[in-house]
Amino acid sequence: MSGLVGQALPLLPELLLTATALGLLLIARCWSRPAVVGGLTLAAFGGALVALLALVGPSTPPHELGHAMLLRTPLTAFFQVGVLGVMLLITLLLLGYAPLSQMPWVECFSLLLLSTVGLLLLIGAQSLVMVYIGLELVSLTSYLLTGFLRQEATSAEGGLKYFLYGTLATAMMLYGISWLYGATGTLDLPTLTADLLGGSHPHQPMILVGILLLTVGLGFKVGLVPFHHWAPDAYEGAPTPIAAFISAGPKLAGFAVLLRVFWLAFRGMTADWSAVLEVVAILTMTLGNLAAFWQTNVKRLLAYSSIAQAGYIVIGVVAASGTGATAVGYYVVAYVLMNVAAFACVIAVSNATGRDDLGAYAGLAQRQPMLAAAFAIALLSLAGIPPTAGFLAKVGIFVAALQSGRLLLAVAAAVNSVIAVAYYAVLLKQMYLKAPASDAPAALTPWPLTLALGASLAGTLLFGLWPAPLWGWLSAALPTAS
Amino acid sequence: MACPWLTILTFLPLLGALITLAIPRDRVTAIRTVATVATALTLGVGLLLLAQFYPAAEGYQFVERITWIPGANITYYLGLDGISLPLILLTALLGFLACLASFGIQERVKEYFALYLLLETAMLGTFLALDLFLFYVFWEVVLVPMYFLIGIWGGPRREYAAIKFFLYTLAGSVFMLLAILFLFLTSSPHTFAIPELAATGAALALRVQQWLFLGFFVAFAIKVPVFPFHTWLPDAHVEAPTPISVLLAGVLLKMGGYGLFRIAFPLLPTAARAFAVPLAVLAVINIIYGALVAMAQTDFKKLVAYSSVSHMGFVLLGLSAFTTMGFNGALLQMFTHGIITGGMFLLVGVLYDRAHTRELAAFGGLGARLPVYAGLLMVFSLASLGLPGLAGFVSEFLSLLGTYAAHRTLTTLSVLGIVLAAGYILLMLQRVLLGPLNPRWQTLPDVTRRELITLVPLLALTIAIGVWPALILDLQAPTLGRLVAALTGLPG
Repeated sequence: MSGLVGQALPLLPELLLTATALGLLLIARCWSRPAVVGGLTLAAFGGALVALLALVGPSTPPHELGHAMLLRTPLTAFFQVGVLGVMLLITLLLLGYAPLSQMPWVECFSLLLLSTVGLLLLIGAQSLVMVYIGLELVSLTSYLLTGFLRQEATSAEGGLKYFLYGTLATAMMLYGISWLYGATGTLDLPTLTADLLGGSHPHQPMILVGILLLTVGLGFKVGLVPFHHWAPDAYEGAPTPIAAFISAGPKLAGFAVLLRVFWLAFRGMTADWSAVLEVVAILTMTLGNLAAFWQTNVKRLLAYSSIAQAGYIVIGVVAASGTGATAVGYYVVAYVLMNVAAFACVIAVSNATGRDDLGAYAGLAQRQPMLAAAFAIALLSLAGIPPTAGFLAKVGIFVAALQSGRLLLAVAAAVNSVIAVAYYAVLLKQMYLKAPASDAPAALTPWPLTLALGASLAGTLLFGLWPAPLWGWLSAALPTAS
Repeated sequence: MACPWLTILTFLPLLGALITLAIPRDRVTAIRTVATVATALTLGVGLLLLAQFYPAAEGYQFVERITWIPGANITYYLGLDGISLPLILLTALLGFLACLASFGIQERVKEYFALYLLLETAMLGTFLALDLFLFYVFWEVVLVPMYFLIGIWGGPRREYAAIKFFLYTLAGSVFMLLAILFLFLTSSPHTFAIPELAATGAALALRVQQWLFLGFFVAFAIKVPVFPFHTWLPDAHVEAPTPISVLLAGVLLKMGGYGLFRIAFPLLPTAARAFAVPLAVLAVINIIYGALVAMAQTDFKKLVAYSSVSHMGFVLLGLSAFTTMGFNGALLQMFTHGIITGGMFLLVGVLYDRAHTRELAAFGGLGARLPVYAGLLMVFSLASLGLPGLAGFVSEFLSLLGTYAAHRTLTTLSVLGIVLAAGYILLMLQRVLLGPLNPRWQTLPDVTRRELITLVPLLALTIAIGVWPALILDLQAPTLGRLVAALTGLPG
């Protein structure tokens, strides 16, 4: 018995979430109030967070779990803590979302918990099989959650598109994994790393094909061009808190895996994959920013904005250095906070008006100055204006690009951050420069929504003004052996 | 520990902004009072610094330095010297006077003053920061309140003008950011501190220095604005409400010139010297082109806006000389242009508030109807065209004299700018003040007491500097002497 407990204990965060997810499905029908189930979900996320922090300290040595399928290091713990923190916010968003009662909300919370398990597994994956399993768990639950507004056609459409693109992408990724397995005879990432360290391998072309196909799967998850087409429809159709979830959670986990696989495991072949990712980064930033400008639906606008943001973050991966990894870690956390804040504002407005178009925001500053100011800060942070976290995040990316000698990438990112202001300012213009419509109802912010907005906004400002703790944690967590 | 005067100076307006935010929005008088007190106290602290400033001392005074972000060696580092002091005084003075002029704002008063005060903090911080990172933060923060101030309270084309201003300035700044980060990565140990980066920059190869210089120059040139980066200026200046036009012309344009003085020249001296002739050429284009376009204007405010382009050319011209006299002229020109054009924009605003038009053709004969207004307009206009005895003459003369030895032909061409200025200014005076009175303006009231309070200090300074330029020159000359010595390698 003690042996079983001894094996289960290190996996407590994952197990706790799984048990809650399944438990909710079985017994939650007894309670008819979302607040109770939401509260249980919050407790599960909070418990998992505490357990994780208790299991991994800053100086805990890396250790393998579950028959070497998973790895726990300070760096994986950093991203996992990030995921759990975000899930707390997302759960609050759901509780403050007016149409929640029209959704099968028990299943919604349960799937969210399962999806989080997938994210945690993905971050900790030590084997390519685990990467695939984690990714599929996240994807399948996300497809369902996107289509959860069953009476809305756009929701179903978004879910279906997400599903069709997603299955293709994960299938290609699985195919890529099989190429890698064929070339090296292993799926274990440390063994793979050791095999490829020399830079030349007897089956080099096969490995390159494998890496390329792997990029498709991961690129789909974090929304990189040209695997981004699902994002605008999925964001628009999904219930807004779920849109916030698919814009935040998979990005955190996806970039953790990109670092793990590309920066660490494929470090012997940096020249090959970084050339590909460099092009992808430039395309992603540029396309995302240019397309965002023409959007009239706020959720679609934020979808393209998060595509562009992913483009910036990839630069940190391309840099393939400790600086780059720190920049990625900081940027992802900053991005998640400001994006959740932005989505919280979108929910507040749509709660009252049922609208997500730009016109719904006209004159918001005069009707609800606090909400407008909050949204403005989130947007300015997304645009990279100091003194917000979004600004420092961009600086980190620029430093990583310059330090690795990729001037073109740095200039492309700089030019893009100017283009981006043009569409973030479209929203600022609506809120501050336009007169309010006389019949516009006041936005509705129940307290969970206010709490989520306040917390994410405080993080955005705090990490912008005082990033030392976050940076310190990150740089201490970076693997030193590489 | 000494009293952190510079922090107090910088953040007093912000404190005022936070207080205004706490006041209910319909208590307009209370909001105005808080803003006025905040800007007045800031001006008071500025004058206190002036009293305690010791011009001959080397290096920076009132220095404050604490670690901000340890991982990247970013410091909160403020300091004052002969380059920043005149601009600090200018900012604090115009900040106070334009605040009084803002009493005419009737809509969304609370938001207006909160943004206004945030803007003042950012402007002061830009002139005081000695850490490039901190400098960039303040520099960027200026954009946000300015965008809203133009966009919400501006004229008919305010939305266009506001976003154009935002994007133009940002486009310049991102390249500056890349240059800053490059310098940071090159320095060893990594630092953002301007005094320490001087050695790093100077040691770089000319080619690298030139690229970095261009990165900084784009940002500063857009702010100055240098032809062909000036097209945001007429839109922003014309659409902005009067007090904001005053700050735009009086302070924001100086941020560009200040950046050249503080960063681009001292950190990249070889590149700066290598670019001396192109800089002088751009200066001449600014002076002559700005004057010619000003002459063609039929809108009073646009005329003043384009005259700024011309006047700021003298700043660039003096900078291209690499002589003590040229630098003194350039820096003094920034100060005098700030007070003179500030006054001009206030006067345009006075007229527009009454007549609701700025078409020069619509006026005429106001000299007899509004004697006080006419008197003020005459003095500021003559100062603007460079009449000896008034402030504008001294700085433009010094700038020309200091540059003559270095670029004879170009300096000679620039003198044309003064002739053209006489042309457009006198033409404007004639169309506004002389001739038959348009019967529509039969009942226009003359300048009110509040307007007079905003104008008289500027008028007094314009005359005082014109008669006794040492008032400002004594503050800046020692620092500039050392800067020129460091740039040219000769003892100042």
